[in-house]
Amino acid sequence: MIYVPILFLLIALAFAIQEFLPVFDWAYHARILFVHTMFFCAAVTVPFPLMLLLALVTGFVWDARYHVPLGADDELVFGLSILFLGLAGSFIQGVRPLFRRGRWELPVFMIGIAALAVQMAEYLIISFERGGLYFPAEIWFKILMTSLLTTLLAPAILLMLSLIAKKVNYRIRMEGITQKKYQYGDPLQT
Amino acid sequence: MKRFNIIALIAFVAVTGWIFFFRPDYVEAIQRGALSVFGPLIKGSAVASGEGDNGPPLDPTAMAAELEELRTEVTILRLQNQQLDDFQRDNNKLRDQLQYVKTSPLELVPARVLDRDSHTWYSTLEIDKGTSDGVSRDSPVIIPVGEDAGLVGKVVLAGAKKSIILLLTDEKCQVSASVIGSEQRGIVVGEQGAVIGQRGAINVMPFLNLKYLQKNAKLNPGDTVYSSGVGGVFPPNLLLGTIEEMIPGAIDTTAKVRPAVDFSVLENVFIVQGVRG
Repeated sequence: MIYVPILFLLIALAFAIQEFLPVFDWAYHARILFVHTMFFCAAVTVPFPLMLLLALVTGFVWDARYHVPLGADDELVFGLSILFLGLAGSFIQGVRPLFRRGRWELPVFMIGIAALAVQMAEYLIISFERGGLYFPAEIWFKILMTSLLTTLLAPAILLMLSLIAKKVNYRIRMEGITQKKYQYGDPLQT
Repeated sequence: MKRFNIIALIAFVAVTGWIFFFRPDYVEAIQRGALSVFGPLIKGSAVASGEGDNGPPLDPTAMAAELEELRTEVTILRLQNQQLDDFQRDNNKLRDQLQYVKTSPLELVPARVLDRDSHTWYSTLEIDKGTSDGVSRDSPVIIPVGEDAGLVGKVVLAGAKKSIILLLTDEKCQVSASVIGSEQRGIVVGEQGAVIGQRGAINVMPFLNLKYLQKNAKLNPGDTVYSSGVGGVFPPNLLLGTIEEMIPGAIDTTAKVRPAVDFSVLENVFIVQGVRG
């Protein structure tokens, strides 16, 4: 099971890379959520309990680095990222069999939706705390661009994970959206 | 759902719930640790992006153009002159800042901006000074604006050698304010959605709102707004901006304020540690 430590190393590497990724001024300060993409892609390939553990570690480190402490005025409380990643990861888990069968369209699409959902949830919480829904075009553009940029990375990361899984003989288990003919134990298709 | 999955889910919910109820000082300690761990990366990215070293960006196109220009002696001299002017300007700026630190009635710690916009929903800066330099949470951050101290924001997280500043233009940075030559008092907050990085919206020149003025407040465009010192976080007489227009409301009046500080070009800032004497 060397695949699992490799995933944790890749998540750590994603945090390092995230520091160097620029904010795109031309896209209303949209950014690539590289750590999120790495987590979502990893979530496609691991069993449910391991996905939760990844969500716990990734969310915790993300909040330790990026949570803005506002004291009594805290809106996005410390630890919220863990919950969001756990929920989004559970959602993505459903497409594991498709990924294993070499169908990447839906997993990539789901990763984009998950990135969008996490941002929307954060923004809605902030808006709720501040007592007013405020949705100018710029905010939609920023959220959509961030999701799009994040999604564009997904195929490359999925390919990398797929190659690593093959190299270390790791099998992606069949749980989620699948047909009966694809049972647990099928050879990995890439 | 398999039994092991259910156990994992229950454990996940329990641990996440436990983390939600971490005491603020515990969260702060964790974040300080994270800031220390990520410190070299933050500095590395600042150097890579040209922030923090204040040097000219290495643009291959510009360098190629410069190479062409360097072929004639006249252009060389012109460029050298231009460079000397730049140095002189930087030198004057730094000398002014040094002079300001010496003469200011405030105890100041100079800091360099390492990173900006590193948080999705908040207007923040990251600087290269932390608790080891005497920086603490809620310390006001200023820059000299003429003879005055222009308020930039406040420290929300002080790591050992790095800190995070919440900018004045963020909706969550609120400052009690007064208008010079008037009895009016109010609260200055970032204008909703008009700030770089502010809840995602953008404006090249963000404005502030001076809220909760009396309904019949008689203020004029150009009037200067300062911090009043009420609340204890920000000392009095820090320059916030000038009034652009008055917006009457049903029960009170709001003034639109143009900030005194240009937040888009911040390179060096000063953290206020206290008042001298």
